[in-house]
Amino acid sequence: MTRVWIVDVGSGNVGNLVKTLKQLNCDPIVCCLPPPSFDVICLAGMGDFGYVMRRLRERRLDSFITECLETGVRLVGICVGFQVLFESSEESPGDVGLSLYGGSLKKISNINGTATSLHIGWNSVYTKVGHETQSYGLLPDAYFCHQFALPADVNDLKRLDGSIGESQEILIANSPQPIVAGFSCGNIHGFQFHPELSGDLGVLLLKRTLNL
Amino acid sequence: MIGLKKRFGLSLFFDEGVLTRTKHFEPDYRYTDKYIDSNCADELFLIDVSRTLEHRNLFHQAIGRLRENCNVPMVVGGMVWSIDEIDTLFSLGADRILIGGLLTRHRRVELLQKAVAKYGSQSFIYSLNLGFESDGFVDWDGCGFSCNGLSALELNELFKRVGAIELLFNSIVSDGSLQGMDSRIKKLVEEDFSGYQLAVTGGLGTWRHCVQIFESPSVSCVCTSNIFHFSVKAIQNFKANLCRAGIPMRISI
Repeated sequence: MTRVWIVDVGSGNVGNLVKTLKQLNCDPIVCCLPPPSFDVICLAGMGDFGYVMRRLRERRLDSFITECLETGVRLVGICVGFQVLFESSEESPGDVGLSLYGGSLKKISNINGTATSLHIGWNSVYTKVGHETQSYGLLPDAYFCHQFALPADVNDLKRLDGSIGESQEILIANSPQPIVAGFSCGNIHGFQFHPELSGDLGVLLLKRTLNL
Repeated sequence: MIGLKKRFGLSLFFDEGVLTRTKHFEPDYRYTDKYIDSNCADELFLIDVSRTLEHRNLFHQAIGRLRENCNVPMVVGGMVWSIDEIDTLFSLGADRILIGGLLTRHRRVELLQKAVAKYGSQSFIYSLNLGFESDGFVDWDGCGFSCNGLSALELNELFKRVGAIELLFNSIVSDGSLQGMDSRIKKLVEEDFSGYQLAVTGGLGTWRHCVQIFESPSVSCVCTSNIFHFSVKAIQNFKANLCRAGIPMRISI
């Protein structure tokens, strides 16, 4: 049974994620400090970039998570947990993310050049393979709720530790400008949307991510 | 259809923990959540319409029960007066919190700023309970007891201070009527509160009413409940009709 440590930073609801993981026969453990053993680290919740990073740093979990990755532990970031995998966010100027990947999250309104800053609801997701894009299955919808995003006009995600990334799969959504909706690369996976609230697509992606 | 869809929200009102239908903000009759096809909705709105906090634990139990049986996002509100209660609702399974009188009546801006700093402003929706008088709209408290007495300008200032992004407009006059949204709300949406994402509820009785509401580009969500009681597949049919009318909706679940 895959043991998933859901890092409790006291921000947002992780109850649905726990329920979905149990349905997938995983063993979710929600706690703020590392449990005795785990196979997957999950950063989840709907919160503020700076708040989450400060909670991680207070407990020195930022360096702990990075060290775990070197031992092959899988990391899954969801929503704000996806965002903190990158360097920074316009949401919290001055707060540095885990910086596993290069890039800064921008306010949706700045990406789109519109007044609307909230990307909420169900949106189609498609994959980017090389320079091509293709639909993901039958264009199922995923549930998004965020106001900062990583523009998809950058090239492939770049690891900041200098390692050569393994084959990447990048998911894109149009907000309406393209944003990175998720990615999978080696043992690091991220979803800007909520797979646990996204029906069949979410369950499929979580199963693949957790190697079930 | 590719791209962001419009949302259909299912409003579920609880009076002392029991699901109830409302009419003009008064509990009308009680029923069971077992006949609601909640997973077909794009979002659930769970609202406590009890007049006191005496049986709040029953509402909490209802949230947990629904969370256990549905996989769509839940917005929870009604009688939210403190950070502790916000924390509690998130821990019970709320994905977002609906804020009403805490801002518009009690003006607890600093408290809400703290909550936003923790959970992010996308985690909160601010509700306005609208009635109309000869000289314009009136925002009432959640029980319809008293008027908050704020102008559109003052409300916009409050919303700005807490970083509001999304508002829920609820029509007291139309609530439970099934006769369609009050046309004056459409005017408000377009003229006085155009800088927000908007959800609207109150009076929607057919899918055609929703098509009219979605004509306003800033409306991203319509909420209704009364037309779906005791029915099976009704929500899918409702959304299919909206799609045929050119409104992008999520059909698959």
